[in-house]
Amino acid sequence: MTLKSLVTIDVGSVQTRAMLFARVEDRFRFVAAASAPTSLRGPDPDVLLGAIRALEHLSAISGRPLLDPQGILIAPELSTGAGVDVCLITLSAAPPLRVVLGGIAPEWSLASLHRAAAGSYARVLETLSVISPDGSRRTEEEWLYALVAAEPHVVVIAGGVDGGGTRPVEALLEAAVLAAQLRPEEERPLLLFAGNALLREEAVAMAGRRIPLRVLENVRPRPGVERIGPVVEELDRRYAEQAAMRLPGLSALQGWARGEILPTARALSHVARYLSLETPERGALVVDVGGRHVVLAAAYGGMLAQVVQPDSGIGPGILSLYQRRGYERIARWLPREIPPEALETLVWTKALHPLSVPQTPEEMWIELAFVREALSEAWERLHVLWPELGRTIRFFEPILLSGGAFAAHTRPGALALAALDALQPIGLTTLLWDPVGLLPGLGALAALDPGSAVEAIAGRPWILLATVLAPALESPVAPDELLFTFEVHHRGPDGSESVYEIEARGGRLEVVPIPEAGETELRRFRMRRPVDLGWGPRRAPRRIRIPGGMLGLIVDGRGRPLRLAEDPETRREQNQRWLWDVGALGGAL
Amino acid sequence: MISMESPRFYPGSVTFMALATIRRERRLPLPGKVRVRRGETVEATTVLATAEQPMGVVIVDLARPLRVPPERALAYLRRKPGTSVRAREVLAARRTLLGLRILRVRSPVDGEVVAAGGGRVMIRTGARTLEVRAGFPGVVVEVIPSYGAILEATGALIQAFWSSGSDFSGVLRVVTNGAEPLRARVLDPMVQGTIVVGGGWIEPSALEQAERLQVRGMIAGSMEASLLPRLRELSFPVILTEGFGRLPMHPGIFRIFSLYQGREAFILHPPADPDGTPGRPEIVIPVPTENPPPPEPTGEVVLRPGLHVRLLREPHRGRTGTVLRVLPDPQVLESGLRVWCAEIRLDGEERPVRVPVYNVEVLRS
Repeated sequence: MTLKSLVTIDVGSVQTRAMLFARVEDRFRFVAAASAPTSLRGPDPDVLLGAIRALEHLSAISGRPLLDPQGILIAPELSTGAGVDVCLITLSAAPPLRVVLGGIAPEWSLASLHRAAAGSYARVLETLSVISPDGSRRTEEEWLYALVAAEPHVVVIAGGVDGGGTRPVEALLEAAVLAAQLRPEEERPLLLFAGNALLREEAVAMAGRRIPLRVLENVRPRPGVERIGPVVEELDRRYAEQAAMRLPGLSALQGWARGEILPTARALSHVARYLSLETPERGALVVDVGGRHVVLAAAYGGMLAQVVQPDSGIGPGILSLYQRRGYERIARWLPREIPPEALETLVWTKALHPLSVPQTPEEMWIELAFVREALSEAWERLHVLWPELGRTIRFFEPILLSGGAFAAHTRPGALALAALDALQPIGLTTLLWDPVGLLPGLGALAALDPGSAVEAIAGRPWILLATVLAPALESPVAPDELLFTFEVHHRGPDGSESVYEIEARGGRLEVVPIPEAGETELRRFRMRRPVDLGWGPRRAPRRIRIPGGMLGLIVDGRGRPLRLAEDPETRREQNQRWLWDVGALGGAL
Repeated sequence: MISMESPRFYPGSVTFMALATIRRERRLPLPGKVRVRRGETVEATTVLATAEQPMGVVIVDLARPLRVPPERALAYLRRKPGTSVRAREVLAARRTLLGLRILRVRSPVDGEVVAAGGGRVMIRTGARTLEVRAGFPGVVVEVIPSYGAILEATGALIQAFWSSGSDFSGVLRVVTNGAEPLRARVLDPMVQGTIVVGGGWIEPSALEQAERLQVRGMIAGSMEASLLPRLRELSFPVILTEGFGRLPMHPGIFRIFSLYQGREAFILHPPADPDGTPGRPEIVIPVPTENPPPPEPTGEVVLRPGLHVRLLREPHRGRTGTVLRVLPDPQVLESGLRVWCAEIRLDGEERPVRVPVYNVEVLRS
């Protein structure tokens, strides 16, 4: 069956976003977006209500009636054009799963489990390790106490290659089963066993009928082989099940959907994977800063490294983020002095009124400072969990910005600068921007009907914010020191040609407007310092074709890692100058 | 048919009423036993329902003392899962040396055997009794089987912004004449054991003085967030009606406190929202009436002209005003955001201001 129309509903912790996709002139495209508050506050929380209001809003914007008089989604699409064929739901509004991980060694099975948990909406409360890094070992009794105290939703046990020794993993399983028996039947955790295949039957026997158990493929079946996919899938499934139990109205909403509810982070990973297949030599990065979570989905030729950072973002999560990062780390991104009292007042206001938005430039700077720290924190975690990515971790094409923190802006320069400050990409990359939050819907569509998703993505439903050229510098450079020069050659649609010479200087951001129409190439690079643009020190191709975009080309000569001035006043001037350079201090679009 | 109606917006709301019929659900977080009946009159301290929550656990190894492999140890268990056990009672026993010697494992504690496996047993050593109290005097109008009850009372209701503590009660004592800050010098020994109410923000000196004078609690409009660490050292809770920073208490709320000076107030903390966000603290001041006053307003409010609202963000944070109209198209703000806005006339000013629709909360009084 060819899909004619689709609505996707992303139930976020603050906003519920509804997206309409439809076949227009024989191509499946994104049509319109609308949002409404996720109704989780007050005496009568109801997720369904937020979805209905988002759909009402979407009907008003698109002119396509989506709800019948009883407020139920019209599906399939009627001959009048009302309704849609399919509804898909993504979710990030539920609190993260409480998870305990158990394995033999921190650098093997447990490292894999940590990666699996990091890519899901999960908070790891305890890690039970047979071998600890400092050589100490908790007793089995201590494991039991830890398991009882954590009150987990899920316990994941792994360890041992297939066919290897079984005893240490057996002990972990026993502890998990015993601790689970202590809980009332309806509150018992799901036990996932993803260790040595020799123990599968024993795990089933231990759990019996009283403990819910799923036996999965070993996360480390052989030395050097990692398979975390099945654990991630089970964590996703459990997250959706827990959400259906905890969020009023979600089960009713699920009744409208085709298939299961997909965690938003998983939907984003589908988009990242797809984009990475277009540029297999470099990674694709999808970034989502929401109200309670931050998601980084980095895909390298289809291989995924993902972090879902809970208790973060710029909604209810902002308070925890502030408590972890502190005033100094937030204030370092501000172009003016803002005392701790003012910052803390805003943090509390935002945490308790997460729907509210900044009205003044000062409050916007503060929120974007939190976006930088939220991204930096998630980035640090990604780096720790996937150390083998090394330096290649910063080579991306493209970087796609999504989530509530990036929505509804009219100063794209401010968003681009926040992303560059936090992510610090190296070389040539493209910054894409999803201002309406359609990525979760696209990801869900990719899981249902890859063909339609490819069509929708081919229409490039996001905005090309800027092309970025950011050299790595081997040593610090003086402010304004000349790093390299190059020429921008532009040929207009009418055949007219223009050439500009651009100088990239240390500590500066240079923005070169590039018209959308026509063709643009970068040529004649002349290196004045041993900079690396991604092709090795002092090297660059003869010609690089780049697309136009909202901001054009940003040449980031600030070096990697980015060095902020020590002196607060100098640092504020630095921030002001960079905001000015990217046009974020001027008027709106 | 094409529908082109304008979008509707549902901002949050906050209620403060001098007299209303108030209904509140009071329930346990886990199933237990309800202790009250429908129609029963309850005091604030009345226990509505109780439940047992497991506390400690002790693990007893059987295999080693019985000198058998773990997988065989459970065959010697005398107290099976689900049975109770007393301290020193024999949990498991095994005859050895042709029955001449008996190896015994005794329970180290009183408790219940809850699980057995891997050559060990787990004994739950006790349970904590969870209880939910009425929190304010009222009448049970509905019993929620296994969980609690819905109570009804008449009186004043004020929904606040934030609280540092849990449920408590005390006699109200208003110590400022209006919106001036709550300072040490307005607190005299008469405030001992009362809930002091100030119409402005809390100065640090007031916290120290209130601690010396042993107040029961403190209610004010606002407080600098930098004072939060100090609150941990205090023996009394603090309630803020407006927010953090330096915001005066809404005059309507201050009037209610002044009206009921000397009456007992009950501070309640609703359970957290399903996503874990704490609910707004509420202040109930019971006032007996002959005829029941109207019920407090419930449900959400569509943003529309004529509504009285409080503004949540700078540059108008804490100000109140009246909605003139919801603008038909999104507006670009000074911050650079493009969002749906309402036009609002601030109280005491003629000039209307444009404010994002979700930067307001509706005042229901």
